[in-house]
Amino acid sequence: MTNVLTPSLTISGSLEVVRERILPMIGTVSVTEGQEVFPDTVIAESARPGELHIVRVSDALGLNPEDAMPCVTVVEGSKVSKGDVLAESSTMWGLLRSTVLSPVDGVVEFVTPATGHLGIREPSTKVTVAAYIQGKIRSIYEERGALIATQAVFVQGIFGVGGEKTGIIHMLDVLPNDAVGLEHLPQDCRGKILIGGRSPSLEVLQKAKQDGAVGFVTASIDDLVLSGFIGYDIGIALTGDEDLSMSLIITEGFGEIGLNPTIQSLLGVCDGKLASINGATQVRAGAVRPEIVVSHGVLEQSLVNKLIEQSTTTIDGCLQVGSVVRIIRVPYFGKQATVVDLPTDLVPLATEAMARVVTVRLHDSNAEVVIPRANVELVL
Amino acid sequence: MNPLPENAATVLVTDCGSTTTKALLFERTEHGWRQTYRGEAPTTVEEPVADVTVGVSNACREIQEISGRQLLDDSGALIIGAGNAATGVDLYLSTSSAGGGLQMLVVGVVGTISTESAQRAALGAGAIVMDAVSADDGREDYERIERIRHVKPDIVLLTGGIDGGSASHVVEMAEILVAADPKARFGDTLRLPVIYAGNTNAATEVGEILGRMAEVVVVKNVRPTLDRENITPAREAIHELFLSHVMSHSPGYRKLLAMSPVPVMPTPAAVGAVVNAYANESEKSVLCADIGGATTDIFSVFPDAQGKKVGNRSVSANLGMSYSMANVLVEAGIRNIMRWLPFSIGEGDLRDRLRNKMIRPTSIPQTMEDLVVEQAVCREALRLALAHHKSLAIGIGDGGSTKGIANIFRQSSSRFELVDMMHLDVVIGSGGVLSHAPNRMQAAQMMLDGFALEGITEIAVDSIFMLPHLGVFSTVNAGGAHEIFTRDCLIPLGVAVAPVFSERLPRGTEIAEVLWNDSYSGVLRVGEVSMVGFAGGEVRDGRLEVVPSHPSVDIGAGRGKQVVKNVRVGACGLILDGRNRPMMEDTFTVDAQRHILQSLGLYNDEMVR
Repeated sequence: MTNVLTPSLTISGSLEVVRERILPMIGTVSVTEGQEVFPDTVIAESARPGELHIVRVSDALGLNPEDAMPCVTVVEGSKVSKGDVLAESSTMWGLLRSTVLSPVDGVVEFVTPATGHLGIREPSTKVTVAAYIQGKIRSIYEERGALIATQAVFVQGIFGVGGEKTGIIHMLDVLPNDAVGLEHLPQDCRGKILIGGRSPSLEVLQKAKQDGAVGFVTASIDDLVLSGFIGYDIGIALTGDEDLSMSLIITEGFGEIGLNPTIQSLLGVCDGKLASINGATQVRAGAVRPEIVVSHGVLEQSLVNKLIEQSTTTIDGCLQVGSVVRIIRVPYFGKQATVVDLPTDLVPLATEAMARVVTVRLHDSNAEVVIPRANVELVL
Repeated sequence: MNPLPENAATVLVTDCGSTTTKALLFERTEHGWRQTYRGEAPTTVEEPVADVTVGVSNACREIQEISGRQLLDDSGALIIGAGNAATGVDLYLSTSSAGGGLQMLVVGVVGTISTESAQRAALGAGAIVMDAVSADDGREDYERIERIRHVKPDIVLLTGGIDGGSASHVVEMAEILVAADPKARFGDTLRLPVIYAGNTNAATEVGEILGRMAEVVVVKNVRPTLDRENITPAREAIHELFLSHVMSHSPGYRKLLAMSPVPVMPTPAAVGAVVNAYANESEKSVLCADIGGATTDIFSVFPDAQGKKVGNRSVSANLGMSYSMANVLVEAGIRNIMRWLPFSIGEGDLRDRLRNKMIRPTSIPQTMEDLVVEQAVCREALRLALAHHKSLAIGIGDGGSTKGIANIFRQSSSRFELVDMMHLDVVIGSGGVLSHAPNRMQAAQMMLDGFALEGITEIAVDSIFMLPHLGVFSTVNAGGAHEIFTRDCLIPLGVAVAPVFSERLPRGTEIAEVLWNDSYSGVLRVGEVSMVGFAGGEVRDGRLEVVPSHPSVDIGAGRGKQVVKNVRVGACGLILDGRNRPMMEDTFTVDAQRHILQSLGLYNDEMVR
């Protein structure tokens, strides 16, 4: 076996990014095929059914369900307002009257004789889905949404928190291998996506958020800082729903790993441009990784031409002699290296386990070391 | 022409897991049934492939290359029933947990009665229970509705009420389901299947209410009376709907179902079938753990109050060794992971390592230190999963209890934990971290520590994660499955002897003497763990006798009483554990851990020497 498939993250100067934007229920599509859209363009809208309230009529009247039913004054489909009488009973020859009032505005959805309950559904609320990225409508899903496509600079992170955000890229004045400090933050963070360096402290993240940044992209982070930033320990790698005004994307991992130079230079040319980011991560099967998307539509044509010329795109790359890899496990975690050999036989590791390995030359020390193939990923 | 399934001599079985499809070849040889070849490939349920059979073909191709036997035709399809002994296979079978397995929502009236029975029915059928909603769960209606809406189950199981009892409560829960209107996980057009297994008097009304939004299947009540549980009809309905609705709407499964004359089984149901069969055949109480990357399943078979064996299963959906490793950190706490380490490590460093495994789940330990960290996490995952299992494996009633309203108030006193660690005969470990531990002794020690085994317990591992395959194979050839199970699957490791003592005894005090086939083998000392190995390390049966030297020591027969038991040992021999239960706090120091690991020769590295 001279080469093997090795998963990696996508980093590309020119990639067709296609995003499906659909409503969670049937609605109306407000764009047309071929239309140019911007991140805040409404693609489709719908009405979400209101909450259903169960009114326990028999309990409220103190009657058995069968005795309560004749007291109900509404039927399925009746429109009611908050405070309307739903049921009334009288005792003592009409001297004592009990009433059950509607707790909300809505429509009676059901009346159940067995329980003596009514269901009242509140009016529906408006739900919209926006474009999120700048691009063109490729196709329409009738009554649901649309497919948007754009040629873009596209960078996947390894982990993130926070949902979709749109902002202006601001490259931090920090070296890729240096920790981001307060002194690296710009005077005005409002609406910006801050990118660069590694291992920001909690103080740095909180200041950026307070000052109005909408995104923070960095190489690595301490787990304790992440927990402090979101306010709790993440158990399951299923993120994106956090209520954060600033999404955070990590490109390399946890600890103190420097920013991949390719990402630094690729996003560097997009400094000052509009980008869409999403911190949503799902590590399980059908993995979702956080992303940074800069549509070519916001870049100068000469730069776009250059990006297209230089772009190399691989989602599942082929590991072979000469490939540049990143080591993703101790004792060489975070180091970059070049593949010098791909032995076919299983080799015993220090753990005494037998594994298929790769021999690499480390870029920082020029030393040749043997690494399990499972512990390297291609650098693109 | 295909032979009848039970006459097949060459059987290819796949387990389509969330990440990997594992293919095994079972063959009838002159020495009986054997597992002969193994291949694996990534599961292809997700985009861009979105066809599970592609992963199946890839796994088969690996077997084809290793074995030299032609299994696939030019189009890549598995050759079944070619009528040629050297080509293809006679029969194809499969289990599946791809796409997250079978995910269910359970709805009942009383949490400790109908909801609990429904949960057992769902778990026994191989499902992951996303949530159990009951009328007495302390949530408001709107909270239940929001939760039900949020969960996208494959199937809902609705229960509640005893037959002939009040119908109103279960009808009320049906109303809440309608209000929430949960959507099925797969397919926009699929009507959500709801199984009703509650009070038969309410079946018509529940059917009418739920009929507006769901496909309702009515089966017998899981709790026809307070002191009787009848979960088999609900389990069968779950299996049926799993195949007819969930599976057939998953990518490529129609093709997969067409390849086999036998229904595809949910993976955990297949493992449960093997564990139950083994427990019944061996007449032993059994605990089996399948610890994967994302989830940990625990299966147990213990006698109930009447002595009848009861099988139970739990799935801890977020305890595992890769995707879920960080969740073990959150649930167990960093200190509980660190307590198993024979070296000091900073909290920040350890947390970052576990998080990095979570985001790069396919990476493997390269250093001994990293291996020890993973195995420490495994101990905690097993501990938490067992606690979860114990809370679900509950026996009901005392056989002769009074029926009627008084019993409602006696429910808590008539429920008891079925899992009795002191009387557990065999523990079986499965899943990568246990089956593929570099040293079998490490697997034995992880189970001893994680489960805090008590008394005398045989420890075994599933050699290459074969239990699911054998489970589905047993449905067509129970004898063949049994032969492979004993010859190729179950590897006896050793026997743990772990007394419990009530008195605080000085460290090093001798507490019991151990004899093997009437010859002195060693002593148990307070706070120490040691191993008694046997020449050659091969599997052997023998008579184990443990004689307490102190009146407060219990090895399973009561304080101060000796125990004699016929057991089977393997490469790990006898493991004598004098740490008491719960384990003495002073065993959780770096020095104490190093001492234990040294005495067992667990890690061949300077770190623990």
